[in-house]
Amino acid sequence: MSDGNGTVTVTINGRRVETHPGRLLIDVAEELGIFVPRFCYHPGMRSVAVCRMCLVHVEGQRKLMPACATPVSDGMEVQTDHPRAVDAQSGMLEFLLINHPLDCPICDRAGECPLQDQTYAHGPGTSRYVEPKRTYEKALEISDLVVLDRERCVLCWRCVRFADEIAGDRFIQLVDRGAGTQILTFSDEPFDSYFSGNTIQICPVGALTAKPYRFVSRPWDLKTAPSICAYCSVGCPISNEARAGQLVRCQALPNENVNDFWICDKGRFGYHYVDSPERLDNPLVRKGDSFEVTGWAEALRTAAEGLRGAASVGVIAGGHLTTEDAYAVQRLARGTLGTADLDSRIQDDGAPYELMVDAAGVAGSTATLNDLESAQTIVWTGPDPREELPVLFLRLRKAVTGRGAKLVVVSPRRLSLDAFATHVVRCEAGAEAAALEGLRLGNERPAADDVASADALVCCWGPSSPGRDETPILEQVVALAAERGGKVLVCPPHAGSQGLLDMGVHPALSPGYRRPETRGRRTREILEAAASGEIDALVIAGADVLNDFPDAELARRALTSGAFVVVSELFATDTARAADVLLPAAAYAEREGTFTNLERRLQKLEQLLAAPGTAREVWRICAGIAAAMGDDWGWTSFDDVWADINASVPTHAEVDVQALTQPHPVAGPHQESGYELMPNDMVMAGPGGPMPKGHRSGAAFEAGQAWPLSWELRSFEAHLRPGLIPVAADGTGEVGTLTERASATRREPGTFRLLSGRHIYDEGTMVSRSAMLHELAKEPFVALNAADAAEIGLSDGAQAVVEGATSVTLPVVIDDIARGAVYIPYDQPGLHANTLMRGPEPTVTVRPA
Amino acid sequence: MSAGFAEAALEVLEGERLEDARRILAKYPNPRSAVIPLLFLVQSIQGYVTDEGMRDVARLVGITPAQVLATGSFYTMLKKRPQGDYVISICRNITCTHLGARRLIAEVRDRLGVELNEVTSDGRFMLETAECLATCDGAPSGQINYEDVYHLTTDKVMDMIEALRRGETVTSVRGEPIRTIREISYEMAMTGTGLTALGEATARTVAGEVLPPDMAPGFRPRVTGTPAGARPRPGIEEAAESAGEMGAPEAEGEQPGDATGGSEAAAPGNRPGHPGSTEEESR
Repeated sequence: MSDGNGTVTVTINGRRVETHPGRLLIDVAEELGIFVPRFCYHPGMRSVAVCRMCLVHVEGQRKLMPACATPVSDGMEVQTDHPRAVDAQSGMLEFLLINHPLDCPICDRAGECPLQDQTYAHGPGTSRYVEPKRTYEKALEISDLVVLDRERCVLCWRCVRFADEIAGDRFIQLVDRGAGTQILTFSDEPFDSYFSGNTIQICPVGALTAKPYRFVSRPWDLKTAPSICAYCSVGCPISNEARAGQLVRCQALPNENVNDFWICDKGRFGYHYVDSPERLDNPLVRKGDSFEVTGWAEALRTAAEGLRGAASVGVIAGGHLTTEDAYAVQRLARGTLGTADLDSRIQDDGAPYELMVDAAGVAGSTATLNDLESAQTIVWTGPDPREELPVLFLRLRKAVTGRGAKLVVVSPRRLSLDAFATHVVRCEAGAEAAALEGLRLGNERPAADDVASADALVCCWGPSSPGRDETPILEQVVALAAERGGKVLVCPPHAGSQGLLDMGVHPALSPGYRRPETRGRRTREILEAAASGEIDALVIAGADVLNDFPDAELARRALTSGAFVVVSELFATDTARAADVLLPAAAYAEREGTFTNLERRLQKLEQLLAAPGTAREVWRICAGIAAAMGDDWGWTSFDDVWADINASVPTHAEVDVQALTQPHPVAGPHQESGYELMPNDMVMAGPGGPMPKGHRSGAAFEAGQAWPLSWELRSFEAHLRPGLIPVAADGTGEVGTLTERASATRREPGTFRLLSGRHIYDEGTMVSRSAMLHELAKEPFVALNAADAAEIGLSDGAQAVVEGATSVTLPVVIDDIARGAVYIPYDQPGLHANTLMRGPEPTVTVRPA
Repeated sequence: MSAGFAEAALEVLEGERLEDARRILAKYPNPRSAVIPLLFLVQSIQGYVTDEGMRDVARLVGITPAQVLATGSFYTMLKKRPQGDYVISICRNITCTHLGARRLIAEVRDRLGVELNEVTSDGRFMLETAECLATCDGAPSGQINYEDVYHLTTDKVMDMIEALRRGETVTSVRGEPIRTIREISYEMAMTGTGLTALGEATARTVAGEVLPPDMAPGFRPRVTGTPAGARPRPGIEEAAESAGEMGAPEAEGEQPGDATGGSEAAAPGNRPGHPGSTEEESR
């Protein structure tokens, strides 16, 4: 019963509002600023209405209605503060507290606990229950990261629903029944999910706690700042939280465009590196075989002298630099040093992002993450997103399982997406382009039918394996999208990768996707030139080329050829140890900045901590080197850098960076738990100031201001930090002539193409220094097809000698992978797979050990 | 999730039992529907539901062991700990209690020399309490392996136990010989596959109704045809259901009667432990 506009009018607590039919009462009330208490409802998941906390009075209904499962209808009159509703809420809380241990004084959640907060706001002050409480064994470690306390649990099912509905990792379940119902994992199968930390954050009590954060801090002792995860290119907003100057927790902040409400466990628990004692804190200058600590002036002077004396300089930047750092590196290279030889593609050397410019006007995505959800068909070719871009995996899963999109996966090896893909096109390694052409031309049926029939098509591409030339693949992806009116989602690997492309840290792109006057050398060519002495100085910013570049021997020769090497880094990485001047950089939590994610969305980081010693932002380091070389850019602040970017980068001319400042997570000052109600409505102020009065059920709150609950529940926050995708010129929509694609591979028994990819917990510079995650890193292995294995006398679990540029013995895993190819993880403890790679399109031989 | 698995990895459901498992799976369009009968099959092999058994079921059905545990642990006739060959359940609800059930339970427990829910030292008997079995006319009443026994006294219970111990046949009030947990679990598992130990249509309900050949005694006897002279007994289905200590399930989305009495209806534990069953459209 709606009016002609498809809207309904609802009255809640006397306030009329027009909204869409079918929306949930709890959401509509929240938008009016009317808070309905809840435990099981979470805006990121489907309602189940099991906690019975959100009961409200609806006029004409004999019984109270759960606001989280009641769709609004026209003329509905609702009272969330009706005496019956208030009484039910109070009764429900008394009931939930019957078995709750009330051990708040030793509970991590106390102070930001929805149960605590809502008991203060809506519950009875006392209990009539005098019998013994139900008890369980406490503090069960249900995974390496998550600890379970079943006594505290109120059985809201949030964790179970998250694991089932969002992550698809159904390892945590409701077990037994009645009063004995409990959350549990199977005896010997832990809650090993890459997304397990989200259950801790959405747990409305202290039943699930984080092992790294147990007994570490009280929430009111935390200083917090919004930031962006510095790992992969999805760019999830996070809240960095520090106690006494040390980063002790990261939590997801919601953004409906990017991560919904979730982050992966790498983003959540991978922060320990920031406080690692191994961090570089002062500049180091090489004196013979060792380094000497110096001041910045001397270090910059030494760097400037070395660079000035060089005939030819190559510049390589790593994927974790911010957009500002990227602009500075570019300006240092093209402006001050006058070189065209700069690149930011390390493990993804060979990824032709610049191909997108002709077709789309941008060296990046034309699709957004939200486009995935309105897509009818999604084509994926690239890395395994669950390992390399975990939250993108969640978004793809949601698009397919939640929105009914069809997913076509084109890959020579099994990917996590195969579990829910509509079609898996298992092509030979190197024949992805041919398979994509098949989709385009309609040969690759039945997948091609779903591609052809889709009105909304999104084609995703990311560099799938280090060391390969992906030009033919991306060309086919672009052509497929162009012909079908689809969009392209380009997925570079790291948090800073897209910003580096946008800012022109690329031999064939200058800032704003323009073509530079001279096309420079790419990473491989820079390293080759350095190895041969043609380039005699290298500037390396945040890149561990020795361990990341898919030809370790080439990187080693480049760095030991006698070239003058300036490195800025967080740590003394293997690459940094080869430097002549080593300059300490600030980590993401220690600085203001922006990351540009894989949709080209700019999002802002705020500084929370001081950098160790005199470490500083890479843009400051670049400006310092330039100044020491006599080229003063006049930058002293973050805003100065952006003034320069606004003036020099056409795509970013209109970006007002300060407008991107994320609203702070509402911490201490707005929590209730720190307060006590005294007689006569007096308020005993807690740590943050006075408590809003009259906050019984239905009291208004101002969005983001006096939200009466702990911060993780704020669904409206998902709209508050949209970030910004800069507008770029349109492309021609065409790709030009397609490169001759590789014909079918010639196979010799025992010789294989080497496919590789990063795993979520690896030997990367940052993860390997985050102890908790580093322990979870899997041992290296070699995966191959059963038929290939049989041919050379190998079986699952056997040891195989893999010989490429070097030789290594690895356990064999039989997997669904194209014949003629093997898969070895890129960077696991004990093996940097780049040591096996020599030259492009690496191959290896495999034989029984 | 696909049900692809390596048979070699199965630990309990092997050989003929794997064939049985296949027959069970073939009954259902959705393999997940087979979880309960497969768990009964495990119980028929191992005497109770072991972790290895749950892992096998998970592999066969294509879900995680945790999901199997969640489903299986809801049902009290699927025991996760050893239960012996015979489970003696004695009702402790109001009618039976009035007629001495509490003392009866305590005495049987002491004579067996074990606590409730513990297996006797010979590994054969376990005593548990039951909620109302809907056999108040036989109070104090109980069940041995879910077969009704009426008007119990300590001596009567112990006599039946000793008879079973000696390998003699003990019959329930409806004249059925009481069989072991493994035997009845196998029948529970294979119901509807056309393969049961029963074979002939000899099973009768208390009311004397003849059951279809593949319907296990005591298991949801549905009256398909009424033999002459037999009176259909209303409510017999509920009686069979409540045998497993099962409360009446709450209707989905049920509201409490009024605001003050809303607590019980809202107890989260009243719902079955598998989230897939309760999906409501959210927004």
